This record gives sequence, structure tokens and C-alpha cells, in this order.
Amino acid sequence: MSNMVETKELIFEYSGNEDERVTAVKKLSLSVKKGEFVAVIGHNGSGKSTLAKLINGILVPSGGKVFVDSMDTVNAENIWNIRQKAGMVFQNPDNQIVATIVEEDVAFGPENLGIKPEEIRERVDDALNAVGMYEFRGKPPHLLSGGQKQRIAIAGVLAMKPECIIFDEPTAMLDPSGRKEVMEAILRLNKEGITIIHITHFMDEAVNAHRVVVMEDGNIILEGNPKEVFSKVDKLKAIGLDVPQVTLLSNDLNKEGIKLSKDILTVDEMVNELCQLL
Amino acid sequence: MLRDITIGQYYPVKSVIHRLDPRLKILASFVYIIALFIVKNIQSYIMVIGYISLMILLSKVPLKYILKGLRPILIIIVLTFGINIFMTQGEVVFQRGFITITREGIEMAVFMALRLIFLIIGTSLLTLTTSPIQLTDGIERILNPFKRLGVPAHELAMMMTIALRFIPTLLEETDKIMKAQMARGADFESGNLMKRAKSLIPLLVPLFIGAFRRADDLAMAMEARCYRGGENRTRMKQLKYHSRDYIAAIVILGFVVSIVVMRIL
Amino acid sequence: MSIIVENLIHVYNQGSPFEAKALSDISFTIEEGEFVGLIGHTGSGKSTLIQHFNGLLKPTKGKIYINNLDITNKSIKLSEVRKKVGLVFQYPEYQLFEENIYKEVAFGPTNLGIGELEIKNRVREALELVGLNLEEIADRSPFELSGGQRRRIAIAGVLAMKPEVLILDEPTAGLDPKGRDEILAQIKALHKKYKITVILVSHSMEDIARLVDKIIVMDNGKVALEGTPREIFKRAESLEKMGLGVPQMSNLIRKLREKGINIRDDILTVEEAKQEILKLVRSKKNA
Repeated sequence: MSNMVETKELIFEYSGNEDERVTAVKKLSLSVKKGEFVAVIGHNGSGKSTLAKLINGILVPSGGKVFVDSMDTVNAENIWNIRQKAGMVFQNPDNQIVATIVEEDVAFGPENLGIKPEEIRERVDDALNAVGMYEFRGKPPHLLSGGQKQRIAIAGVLAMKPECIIFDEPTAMLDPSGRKEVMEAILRLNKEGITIIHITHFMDEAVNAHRVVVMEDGNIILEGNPKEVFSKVDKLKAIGLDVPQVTLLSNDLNKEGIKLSKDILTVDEMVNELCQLL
Repeated sequence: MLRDITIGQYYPVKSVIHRLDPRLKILASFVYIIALFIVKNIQSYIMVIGYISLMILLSKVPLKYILKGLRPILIIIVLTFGINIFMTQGEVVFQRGFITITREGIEMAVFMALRLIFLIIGTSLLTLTTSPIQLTDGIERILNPFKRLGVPAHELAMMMTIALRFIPTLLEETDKIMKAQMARGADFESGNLMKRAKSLIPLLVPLFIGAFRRADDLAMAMEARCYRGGENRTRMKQLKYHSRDYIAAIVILGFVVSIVVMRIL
Repeated sequence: MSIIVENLIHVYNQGSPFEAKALSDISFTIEEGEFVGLIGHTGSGKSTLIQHFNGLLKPTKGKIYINNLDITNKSIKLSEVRKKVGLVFQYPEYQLFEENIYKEVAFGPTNLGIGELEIKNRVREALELVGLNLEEIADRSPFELSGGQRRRIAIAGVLAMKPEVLILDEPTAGLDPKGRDEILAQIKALHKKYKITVILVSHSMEDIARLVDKIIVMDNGKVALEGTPREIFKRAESLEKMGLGVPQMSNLIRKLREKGINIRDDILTVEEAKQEILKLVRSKKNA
């Protein structure tokens, strides 16, 4: 299968305070296959949000290349196709909703694409149904909860019929039930074949991904399936990231000479392992 | 809580007037205002009263609610009345000292005051029966043909939409920042004017910074959703004239024609 | 400094069509120097409750005593209440407004009418508590700093008022794990050093489990549960019904016990779980 997103030795620099040049992304190469669910983790300032904006063409690389479905983001002709193909959901639920009525907001993207009114209507209804928000279509967004607003934002992207959605910390400002709503929506979309790039610092959200990419200081320092990545407990701890508590426990128990598999990610896996032991 | 306040003065009931096409309502309001300025005699005023009463009745908006809208401009009405009654030359009906009241003055004052009152009632009927979104839509589409003359129809409408969208958010934020600063001992309520104005700084600075941050985020989110101005943009909801709109148009036309005829005769 | 809440009721927009009951008949006591975790689903009334503690909201009915001072009494001066109770709101970095960090942190104490020298000492102390050095940053603009640092400045702004009760509404929201751990460690150190009463509102059960002495669980405008973390987190089912979770370790222990493994049922942290499991494994080997 071909790659949905590909970056080649990607560099991004900007001028920070007092005109010093800051390099946010350093020669980063990453490819994401069609249909894949990639979680990008890293602490604040590791360059993960910058990466998201580079993929969507909101930022232009200072060096290297970004290809979305083989289209180069530097090429101005491609930009609208790229944004339609690779939609983006942002962190703050309040700051990405444009219209005063839910369904009008979902229609905003397709309207920009110049799609016929009847088809927009269909797409809006489908998108709202896909995130379970159809019954809220006539409500003003400011009366919704954070999780609901994020689902509206997702529907707004879905209505553009993207092949890939980049989530830039969509759950950072939500409460646990809001986070759950959004994560369920993301997983469902991935099952339906949409490529997902999910940027987060909640490690439990990365557990469900096909692949986890750990960023530190503008580059990838660890990459692999969740079990491979999270078994590197000490390395993750060293850069100030969490691992699920059960993973930490199995790591600690192993150090005490108790043989458990090192790649335990969920409570149920841990229960099974321990039951064999006790 | 602040966010429960409805924005604008839209009065949400289901009525014939509410259902009319916003374009028609905006244009009808214009025609009505022009008509108000050509009425001269009592008969035409009765006509205006009849017309506006019919509209209020059909709109199902309580009269009390409409009259409430007159309160802020009461002083202007009184002033207009005063100026006209004392300043108009003509047949003297009352005189004491330097105060002279003429017959024409009374007539003029009553007519001018009525004209103002009807003007406010008519325009508030528009905003009471048309939601801000419909209003924005209507304005955009009325202005659309003038795009070639450089009228930024789409941009104006987009600005209005975004303002409407963010008013509740910013009100909520104001409330939050105010409380946060009060928890730090800020006092927004006491002291003289200077002190009070100064006490607003801890509120206004974070509010402005927040608004700019939001604007930045929103611009990015809009670009990510392929927004590139009004060019080649379509709309999901199309405005279509229904038979009720044609009937309304005939009623309005009839009204204007009779006002004009009365003026000429 | 004890806090006593008696039959507290709060109704928003009473008498209007938007009337909403946010708190219904709440009573509880917090002892002086206690570290209390306040948890509950969004909309359970937590925010309404904490705003009562420093007089930002007035009860519709009921009383609140802070160290025997009835703060709901009409004749009480609000500045007195705010001197005693410090409240750090969610995302406090968004309330910063001064041109430099010194002035920002000094805003609270200045409003309390304290002398210049005392203010300077307090600013220095408050910044130290959040791991920042006054001399290094006094003249810098708060807006030059990173998000995590800005939040610490905002917290220092409240600490400089030397509150006897400190309330923090989700102080770690939106921070990465490192930033979160730093702030929580600072709060813990502060509680230890000054023995002040701390009320922490949080959605993270792991953080609550590891920090607090007592938990108050709010649900639907009422206090649903009250007790030590060990007692509260045993009741996973009740918490789940209220849309809340338990720390992952409590969950693990519960599932192990369901499988018939005899392990202590009040375990909260990874360290405790490790010790208990080691004990079990070793006793099995010896048997």
C-alpha cells in the first residue's frame, strides 16, 4: 500500500524571542501508511504540534519535504487538495468552531470546497451521525460540553471526506468522559479506513494505536508498536513521559526477579499474567 | 450565568412573519422606513398604524416586548417632540412669556414623534422575528449582486457570523477572568471613576490577549478547512422564496402604493 | 483552619426561566491542615462549591464557617475572606496581565494593602515555592515564558497572598506528565512546609490517590461519598455509576480479587501493589 503521509528529513525553524532561530523539527523522516493509526507522543515543546501543522500545509518546511498522498505541501497548487485529504482537529474546542449552529459549522468545510447544496446536506447529516451528534444539529455550539464540541469539530472535518485526519491534542482540554467520547470516535473512524495521526500526551490513548512514535527535541527517538515502545519504561521516564501504571508495575516486578512479560499494557493482561503466577 | 443570555433580541416563536424569507423582511423594512418619510396626513398615519398592528399581530411577539425596545430612545422622542412644538412658526394657539406654541408646531411634533416610534417598532420587529444567522444570510445575499462594485458582501457576513459565534464565549471568559482577579483581591466596584477605570486593566488585558489567541487559532482552523474567502463558495442552506413570501411582497407593495397615492392626492 | 459547610444550597438564576439547582443541601467538615481531594463529574457542582469558599458566590441558603468565621454573614468583609482563602482557577495562566513577573505576583498582596518590603519577601517566597528565582525573572514579561511556567507564575500570585486555605481547580489540566509532576510535587511540598489546608480538584484519580488525606466525591449537587482514598477507591462500582473512575492499581487489585486471589483490597499506588505482589509470590514459593 502507498503512504498517506511521508516526511523526508523535515526541518522547521522559526524566530523565537530576541530573534534567535529555534529549530522545532530536526531532519524528521516518518511515513504513515494508508489506514494506519499512528500515535505521536512527546512532552510540550517536543515539536509534535509543529509536525501536525507541517503535514496540513499550515506551516511550510524550512528544509526537507512533506508529501500527503504523494502531493508536495510546498507546491501551492496542491494545498487545497492536501487540506481536503488530510483534515485537522485542534486542541481547543472553542476556537475551531466557526458557525453559530452545529450543522452550519459542519457544512463550513464542504461549502468552502464548492460542493452542491444537496450534497452538502447529505454529507453534514452523515458526518453528524458518524460522531453521534445528529440530534444536536440545531443547537448553538456554546451550549455543548467540551467532548461534544470536539465531536462537532471532527464531523466538520469528516464532511470534507478526508482520507486522513490529524488530531493535534484533541483531548488535552477535556474531562475524562469527554476524552472517552473523542477516543471512541477516533477509533471508529480508523476502523472505517481513515488514516489517523493522533498527537497526545496521554499515554493510555496511544495504547490502541498501530504504531507509537515518540518525539523529543524535534526528532523521533522511539518508534514501534505500543508494546515495543512502552516496554522501554526507563527511556520514557527519562524524557518525562508516563507509561501505563500496569506497565510500570510489571517493569518493577521484573526488576525484583519476577518473570512477567515486559510488554503488558492493560489491566486485563496483567491480571492474566499474575493469575498464572499466583 | 452569563452564557444563558440570548444574544440580539430575537424572540423565538413560530409565526408567519418569523418564517418569511429574511431578504424579503430586510427589504420590506427598508421600504417601510422610506414610506414613513413620505407620510404627511392623518389618514396615512392611520394606514401605517393599521399596517404595523397587523404585522405585530401576525408575528406573535407580545406588544409589551416590542414597546420595551422604545425605552432607550424615549429621551430622543421627547427631545424631538419638544424642539418641534416650540420651534415651528405658524398660527399661535398658546403664548406665555417666551414660550409660543403654534398649531403647526403641535401637528409637526406629534407627527415627528409618531414617525420615530413607528421607525423603531418596525425595525425592532425585523430583529425580533429574524434570528441573527438569518439576518446575516439575508444581508449577504442582498449585497451579493453589488460584489462587482466592490461591496465585500461575503466578508461582512463572515465577520458578523464570527462575532455572533464568539460573543457567548467571550462573555463567559470575562466572567471567569473577573472572578479570578477578584480572588486575587481585585476590586471592580468601589472608588472614583479614575480608580474604577484603572481596576479594569487586570480584566481587559487578559481578555484582549485571549481574544487575539482565539482569533489566531480560529484563522488556522478555518484555513485547515479550506477556507479561502467567498470565491467559489457554496452554501448548504439556500434561501428560496415561497408563496407566503410573494403574498407578503404584495401586501407591502399595496401598502407603499397607497401611501404614495395618499401623498399625491 | 477548619472549614465547616452547613446545609449549603445554591440555585443559579433563581426565579428566571434559566433556574438551575447547582448545590442541594451540602454539609461536611474539613479539618485544619488536611489535604482534601474534591472529585466529581463535570457539572456535579464542584466549581460552584469552591467559589463559595472565598465569597465569589453567595449561598442561596446555608452557612460556611472558616475557622469559626461565618463567611456567609452579610457584614463580613470579602477582603478578609480572600486573605484567608486562596483560589487558583483552571488555566490560571490566562489571567496574567502585568508587564513583568514581579508586578504580576505582587498584584494579590498589593490589593491586601501590605507594605512594600513585606510584598517583596512574599513574592520571593511564592516564586521559590513554584521553583522559580525572583532575581532571575523579576523583570521578564510573563508572556515570554512557556505555558507550564506561566501557570506557575499564576499559582505564585495566589500563594503570595499567604492563604490559610489553598484551593486549586485542576492545576494540571493540559500539562504534559513532566509539568504535571512538577506542579503536584510543589503543592505537596507547600502543604508539608506550611501545614495549610489544601483542596485539590482533579479528574486524575491517580494524582488524587497519591496526594490527598481525604476525598469528597460530588455527584449531582450533593456530597455522594466522603472518606480516605483507601475507603473511597474500594467502591469502584459506586464511582463508576457517577461517571468516575478509580486509579489503575485499584482496578487491578479488584480484578485480581475477583479471580480469587487474596490480596489487600486498599492498594492505591504502584509501589504498594509491587510490595503486596512480592509478598504473595514469596509466600507461595516458601509454601
